[in-house]
Amino acid sequence: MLGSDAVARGVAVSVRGLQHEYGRGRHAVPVLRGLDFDIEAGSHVALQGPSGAGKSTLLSLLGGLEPIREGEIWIGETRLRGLRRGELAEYRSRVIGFVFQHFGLLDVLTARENVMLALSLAGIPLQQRMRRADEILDDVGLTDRAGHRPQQLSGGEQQRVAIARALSSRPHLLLADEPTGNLDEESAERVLDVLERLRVDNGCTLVVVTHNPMVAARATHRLHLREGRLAPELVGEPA
Amino acid sequence: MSWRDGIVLSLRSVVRRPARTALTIAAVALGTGLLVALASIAVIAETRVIAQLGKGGPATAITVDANVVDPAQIDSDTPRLGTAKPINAETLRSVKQLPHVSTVTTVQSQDVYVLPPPIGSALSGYTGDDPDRGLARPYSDSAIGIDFKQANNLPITVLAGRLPAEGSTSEVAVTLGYFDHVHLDPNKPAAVLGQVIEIGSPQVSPDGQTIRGRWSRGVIIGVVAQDLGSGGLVTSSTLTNAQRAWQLAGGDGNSFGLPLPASTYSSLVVVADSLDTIHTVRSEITALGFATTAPEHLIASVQRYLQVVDMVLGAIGVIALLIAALGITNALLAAVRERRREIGVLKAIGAHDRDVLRWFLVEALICGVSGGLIGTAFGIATIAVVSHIVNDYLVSQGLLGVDLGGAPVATSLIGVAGAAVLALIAAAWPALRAARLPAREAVGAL
Repeated sequence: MLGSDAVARGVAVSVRGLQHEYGRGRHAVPVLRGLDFDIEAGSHVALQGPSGAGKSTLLSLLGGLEPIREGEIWIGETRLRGLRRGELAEYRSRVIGFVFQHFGLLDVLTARENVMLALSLAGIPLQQRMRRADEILDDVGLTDRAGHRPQQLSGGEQQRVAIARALSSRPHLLLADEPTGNLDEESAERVLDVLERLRVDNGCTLVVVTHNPMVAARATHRLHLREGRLAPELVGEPA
Repeated sequence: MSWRDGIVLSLRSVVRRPARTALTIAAVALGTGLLVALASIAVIAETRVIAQLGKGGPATAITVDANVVDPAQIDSDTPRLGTAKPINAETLRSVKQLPHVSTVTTVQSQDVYVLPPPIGSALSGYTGDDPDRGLARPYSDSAIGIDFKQANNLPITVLAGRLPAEGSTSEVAVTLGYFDHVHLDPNKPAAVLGQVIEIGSPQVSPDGQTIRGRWSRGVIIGVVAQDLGSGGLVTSSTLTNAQRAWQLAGGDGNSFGLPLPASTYSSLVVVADSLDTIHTVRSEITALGFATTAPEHLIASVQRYLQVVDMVLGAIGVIALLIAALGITNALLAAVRERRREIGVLKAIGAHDRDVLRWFLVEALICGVSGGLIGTAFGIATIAVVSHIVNDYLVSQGLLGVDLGGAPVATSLIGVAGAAVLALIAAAWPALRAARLPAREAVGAL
């Protein structure tokens, strides 16, 4: 079994023969054209490539945001293909953490409530939710901003709240798409520091989609996508 | 997602767009208010105007006449009366003991002469029937004597002023017929209040040759509409008792058309304990040998009309609710459009379809319950206003007023619960649409 073997080999993510296209029939637009790669557990992978190369689609498929039509993805021992909607939701809440370029915080909730919501979705009891939310917000240096709503926070602070939310349920795989795309250089550095520190502390695998060389430079591995395929010369190359 | 988090999220989302929320709640409130008002009016019409009056019941009371029943007229609401049959204390006791009888009130009728002002007091601008001397012409009438403490059980409505005090021998009420005698406008009933009239009880001499009167003065304290018997004056039974005793102390006045009254009471007003038992009570009284009148057929007809009214009012209410439902659906569809990215993000961090469904349904429920509460309050206020207007109208028309009261509690509760259910139904489609949005929508936020 691919998942078990891969886990035994220390692989967190296995992708085999992955293809994806948008639309159907004559109007189908191929986005991913057959991907095969593994990501080691605990590694920090930068996913790079020009716009339209399929980076976000790959991230969506890894995160279980959309169904896999062709090929296989194994996250640890979990085979994503064939999971039903409810199972995918469970998978997202317990295995995956997302960090969005535009933060993706619910602006009607405070920073603490945003974190607690993710924990609630993961089925964590209330008292534990409150304690863990405070701890993780402390980890990202936002204890004094916990009661603020997103619109009362700077971009960097919002992204740190998003990181706190993503890591609050202790995911195995953290997926981030242009996490510093909307931040100035100083804020970006700080966010990346927090992201890297928490990744190491939590021992999770991090996949970051980025155009930013500074962000890519922090990765342990790089995957380069071009027209839906991995650019061979860069596959698995250590940073 | 826990219920607590779901409710917090919904509450915050509701207040995020205050104008839209207010409009949605207003639509629900209007629909609910209209339905509550219409339903309440229909229910009130059914239960109060008919059933309650049937219990306390001036309009549906049974009148027992001091006559025998004509066998051919038993099924008539107003049968032709047979020969006289006195109603006395024994009759009263027998009727009171009948099953399903709620109250029995005695009515006395006494022949009197009435002398309007200015004999008693000056009336500004009055010329009277004798303009040369400015005097009014005395006329013969009947004084209806009742126990004013039982007035609520009698078909009598105050058009102006008030009813005389119980036991008073100096206060009287008059009907609109009095205005014909004094040539005043019956549409201004208050014009006669305060007038002093003289009331003469006739007594025929023992030899039957002469009549003399026992005169007393009475202040007109109220103008009433009544269905107790033919008579233009309504007085306390104390006064009519005295007048009756005076007449009985004299001789029989058959030759003057003033025979001694044979019956202690001219009639009894019987109220059954419910609308459904009117016929039974009436039959039992008939079995005692007395003629009765009761608006049984009228009530049945009114009930049929009320059912039609119920249907029409219900249809209007349902249309109002449908409009309110469309308002909720529209508002939530707009919310779903606006929150596609949020829904995607929520799903990306692990929300199930049911969590998103709950988010929107609870939001709709908040609008529904809020609108329901406001609408019900609005409906109750509407009923109060309508009740007031209806009562004023009935009284102005010389009809019996009715106490519409407030909205029935059940109707009010159904109003709130109905609005909540309506909100859920209206929200079902947008909420399902939101729940089925793919998690991929979050990528728009990537």
